[in-house]
Amino acid sequence: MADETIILRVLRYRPEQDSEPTFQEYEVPYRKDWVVLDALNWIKEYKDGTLSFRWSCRMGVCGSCGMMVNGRARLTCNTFLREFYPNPITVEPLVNFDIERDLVICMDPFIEKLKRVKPWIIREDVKPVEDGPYEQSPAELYRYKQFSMCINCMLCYAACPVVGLHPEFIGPAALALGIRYLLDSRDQGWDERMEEVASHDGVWGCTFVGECSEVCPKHVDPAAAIQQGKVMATLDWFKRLLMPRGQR
Amino acid sequence: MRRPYRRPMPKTWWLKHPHYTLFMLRELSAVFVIYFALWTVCLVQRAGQGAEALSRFLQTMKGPGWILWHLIGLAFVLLHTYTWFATAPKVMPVRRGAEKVPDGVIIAAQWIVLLIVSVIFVVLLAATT
Repeated sequence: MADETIILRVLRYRPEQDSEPTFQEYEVPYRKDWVVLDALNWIKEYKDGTLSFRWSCRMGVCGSCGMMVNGRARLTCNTFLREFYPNPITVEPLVNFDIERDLVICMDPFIEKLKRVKPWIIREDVKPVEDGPYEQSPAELYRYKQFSMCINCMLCYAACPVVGLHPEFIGPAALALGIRYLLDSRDQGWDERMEEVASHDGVWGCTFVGECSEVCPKHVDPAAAIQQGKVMATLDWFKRLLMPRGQR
Repeated sequence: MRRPYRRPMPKTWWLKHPHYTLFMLRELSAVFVIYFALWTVCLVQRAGQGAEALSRFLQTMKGPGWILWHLIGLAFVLLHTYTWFATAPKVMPVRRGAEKVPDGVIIAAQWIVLLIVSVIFVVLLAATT
């Protein structure tokens, strides 16, 4: 048991020496209770300290350790080696993102997209703190709660072919978050947020492949959020057409 | 030193995973929906030309090539229906307080309605011929 091993094929890219990424194989001890991230940490500790990858919480909460495991976008902290053993495991950085180094991707475009949907509560009338919180009933909370569970792991961006083909597409996680705020009864930023959500790069870019929802580790179902966003954007367009000066 | 590497997206991306392939087939299925709509227009047009034109048209459609072609079309239209019905609970979720009505209930309800409408059509068709 103790001397069983498994092969990890890891995509390496060292910008100072490599012109393009290449695979490197590592033989790693096999343990039934090890996840892919444990194996990567073992490599870094005992085999090759130069291997770079992101990770933090090790319990599927922080969203840092997303990688392509055998071609699928997964959190490496909850992807067990036993799922693949005795076959080798291929580990690559998330696709649809530029590679910064080894398994580390450049997430700048994602952060910019996140900012576009203004993921915070916008108020026209800001209450003083002593007046207490903006109240919300459980029913109002349930309207958006599922879409607020996103941990920004970006697996959905790696799973979405539209992101790969049309890099300006705001993408699943950011759009789901934008729609989460559109559905929030406390929010008053409908117009400015809808402008982004209903834009050419927004919900209309989505062709509903649906793979974003398949890979989501938090069951946010961004595909559902985006389709609901399309309905909201359509109704909004008609309302503006029929009542140009109307209040919502 | 920063020198981000951009990986090209292969043209065969939709063959990489069965879900992507199924998506492409679903998109293709729309062509068959249009095809059957146009076919129905042709049928009505022949019927307008008289009984003889209609029976000649229907005779042509009994050819093995046409039957095979329409069976392929039927498979695509069923795929279209299946994926369309599966979309409904995602696009228009029904809530009862905290609880969401399960997706399966909404999908099943649509199939039942389709079945009822189909039965009515078949009965009406049988009654008139």
